[in-house]
Amino acid sequence: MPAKRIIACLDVKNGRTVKGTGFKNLQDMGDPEEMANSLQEQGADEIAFLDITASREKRPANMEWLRRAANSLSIPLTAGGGVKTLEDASKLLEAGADKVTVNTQAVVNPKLITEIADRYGSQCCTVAIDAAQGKAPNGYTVRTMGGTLDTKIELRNWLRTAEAAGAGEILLTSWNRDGTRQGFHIPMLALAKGTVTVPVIASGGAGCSEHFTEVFKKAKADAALAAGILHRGEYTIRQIKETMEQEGIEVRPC
Amino acid sequence: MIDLITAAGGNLGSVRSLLERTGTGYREIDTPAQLEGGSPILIPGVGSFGAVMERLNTTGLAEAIREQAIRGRKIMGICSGMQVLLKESEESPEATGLGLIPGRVEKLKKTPLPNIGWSRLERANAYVYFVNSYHAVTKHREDTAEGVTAIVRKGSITGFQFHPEKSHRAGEELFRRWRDAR
Repeated sequence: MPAKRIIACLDVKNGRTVKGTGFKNLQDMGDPEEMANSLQEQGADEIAFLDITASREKRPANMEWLRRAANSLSIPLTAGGGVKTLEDASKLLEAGADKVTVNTQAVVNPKLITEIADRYGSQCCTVAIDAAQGKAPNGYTVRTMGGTLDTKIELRNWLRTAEAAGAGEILLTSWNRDGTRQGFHIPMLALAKGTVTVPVIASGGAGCSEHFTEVFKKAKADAALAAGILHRGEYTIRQIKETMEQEGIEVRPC
Repeated sequence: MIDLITAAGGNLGSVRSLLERTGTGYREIDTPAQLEGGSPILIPGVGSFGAVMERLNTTGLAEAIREQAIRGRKIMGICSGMQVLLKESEESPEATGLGLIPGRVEKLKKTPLPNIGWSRLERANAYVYFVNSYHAVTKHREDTAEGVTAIVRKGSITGFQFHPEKSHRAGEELFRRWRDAR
């Protein structure tokens, strides 16, 4: 298996990087291109840009900052936010993204996943899922519109549908843990790993470097997203990778 | 100077950026006539084996590249552009590849699939970035630790399954070594 990846995620709003708790209380974190380059030099294995408010504001992600960032990076770049049509996805890929994420609109219309996969290959289509703990211990439901809408769709069903439609990867965010620093939602991520054979990227809740070790060892995630933990300056990618290495997890050296 | 084949698709922005970062001059090629001269040929590619071959056939570049290969011209393929250096692929059974390297392209037998991420190349002692579900099965190959074909090489023909343009400094270094090798 390839080395476990640390994907540095930048939530973007109006061309600025932001971070909030549970998708709310957004704070300005800096310029996306500058931050992406600094994260690349620190040892990020991949950069993900999510234009998090694009869905709610019913507009496609803005391209200009993406084009600038894509031109200056030499590691893989994922972009998403408000992708509603194949044309929206094409714009992100043509601006230089290597993969696009689809979220809300894929739930509304799973054929969107198939269209992107057919045109660009499934490896270009990452299905991002925000899921929340339901009432049953192993029950999780899918949320859309930047986490604001509970679709009541069971996570496992959606994972299977998304994979069958052509998803190349799953980016699974715990709506309950996001921004809490309490650690990744291990049972939910393990459930996802047991449900699909495409790679699963863990997201939401990282508060210390041990949380990464835990999600790779216990949930067997293929990659993990790091956002607030990096932007708050609490940990560097190097520190996270050093902890992983000490625990015997293969990482790409910084 | 490098002759960059633009007709086979691929993330051309990233490949151009790699050429610029490594100080490599290049010309963009989309017709056979432009292939005159002796510069090494670079074939990036994305999408299925069949889709890449269709684009190379429609433009007449497939035949032109085969002719150049026979004359010993240095050629490099990246990702799908590397897979079409072989003759056939399980991905597109109806398509015929360039056939410059013996062997065939087969689906990877591993999970998770697609194979996405950074794997170490032992000889180069470097991590490089892969995104693939198929790989070349040939004796002219160098593998990752888990048996995914990373590099194919026969005479003047080289293929990188990984993406040097997405592999940060390791990718630049491996590309430079290929470019500067005689």
